[in-house]
Amino acid sequence: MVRWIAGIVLGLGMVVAGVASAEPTVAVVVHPTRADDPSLAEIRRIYLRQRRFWADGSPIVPIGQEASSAVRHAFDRLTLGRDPASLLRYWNQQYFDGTFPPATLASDEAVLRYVAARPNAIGYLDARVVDDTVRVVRHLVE
Amino acid sequence: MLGLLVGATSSATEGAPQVAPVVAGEHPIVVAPTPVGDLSYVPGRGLRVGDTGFHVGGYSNLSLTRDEGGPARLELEDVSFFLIWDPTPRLHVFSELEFEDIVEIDDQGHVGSPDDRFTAERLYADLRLSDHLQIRGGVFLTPVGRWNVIHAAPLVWTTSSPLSTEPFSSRSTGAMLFGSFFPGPASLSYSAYGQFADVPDGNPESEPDDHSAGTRLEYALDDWAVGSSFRAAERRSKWEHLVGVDALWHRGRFELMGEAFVQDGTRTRTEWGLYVQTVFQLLPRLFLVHRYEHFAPRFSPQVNLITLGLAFRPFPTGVLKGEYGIVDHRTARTEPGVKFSFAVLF
Repeated sequence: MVRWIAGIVLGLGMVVAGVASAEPTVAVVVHPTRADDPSLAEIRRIYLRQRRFWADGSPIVPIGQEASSAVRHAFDRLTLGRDPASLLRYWNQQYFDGTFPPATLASDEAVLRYVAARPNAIGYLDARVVDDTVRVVRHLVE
Repeated sequence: MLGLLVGATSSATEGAPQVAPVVAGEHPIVVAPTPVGDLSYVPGRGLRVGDTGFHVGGYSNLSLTRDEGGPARLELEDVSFFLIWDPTPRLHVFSELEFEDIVEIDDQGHVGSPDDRFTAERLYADLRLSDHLQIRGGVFLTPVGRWNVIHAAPLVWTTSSPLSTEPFSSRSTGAMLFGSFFPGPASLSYSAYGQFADVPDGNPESEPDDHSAGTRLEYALDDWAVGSSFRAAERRSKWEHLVGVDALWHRGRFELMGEAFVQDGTRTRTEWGLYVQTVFQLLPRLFLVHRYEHFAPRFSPQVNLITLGLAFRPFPTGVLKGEYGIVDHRTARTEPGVKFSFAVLF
């Protein structure tokens, strides 16, 4: 009996841990030389292409991740504040004016390398992947 | 194909990616390497021409209407092509070339092209000086109200347009200043335009303004946005002035949108109108749409219209719409009846 209960508790713990790890903590990162410290609202505007320039006038290059990735799901939910259907209608309307969503890269490592090499870029990735080649401007947590 | 997609992904990883449409249509269905970079097509987001900054896309609309007492008509209403060029982050060139009313077939078997024409619907260049100040020159949609600037069939919920969105020229040829400010979590957007030249128009029945100027302000916060518009226009030495307000609110499955305007002029009677439209998401791809309109034109009786319909999105960038319209005064522009349409971004 005790073994059964222990097994159930252990199993539930693994499930909970699995769910938790499926939604990573997201770090929003910029190049180390970039002095800007965008708020959550500003990050939202950057990724909706409503804000296009850093404070020094340089064009912002926002980089996203693929729609199927867990970090993309977490970022969209924690930052953009729109459900997928609403977001899709938004981008359909933007397309009508010739505006496209941010480009995407295929992995956290690719985002890390891209942002580390470009002073105007901003990206997001799993916080566990961040190193000192970029600067974290915001951690997104539940 | 898989190899092409993998190749595209790896090259995007190394290079400077330009576009990747969100959620649906995330991946291109066709990728072809060329000397100027990958030629890639994403449904609903167009064809990207390598690293040149060029995109080609557009939309199309097919409608089936049957006004009460009239014949059923199947019409290919629009095929519009977007030609987009973003050579630098500060320069944006956009054109919409539209083939209108291309072919019509009625239930008697008559085939024709009653009003076919080719129009440069939009043709402009934007100079992006900052988020606060951008300059647009060319032919652009007149920034009055909310509907007029997103009126494309795939973007609106009904086949018919509210009459309240039609009492002014939908396009202007001239210059516009526009931009946004971001007080706290909100955004305040403005536009101010002047029309200095005739709109290139293939429609001989339309009468463009001789001159016009206007402004629009929009304040948006979280789930809602409110806007106001002002426009003054001169036509045949007569001036008219339009004031309008509009609002949009959406939360969860519900969306509410409305506009109202009043327009007066020298030697003309005042006209005014309003509409309120609600949209409720019944199922993930199915939406219930209702709209009430009141329109008091200058020279004909006031009309009240109710439109009730459904919109179904079989895929993210296409929409199938069906609606029934009820009207208390029948005119050439307000016929009761049923309308269906299928519109798609490509």
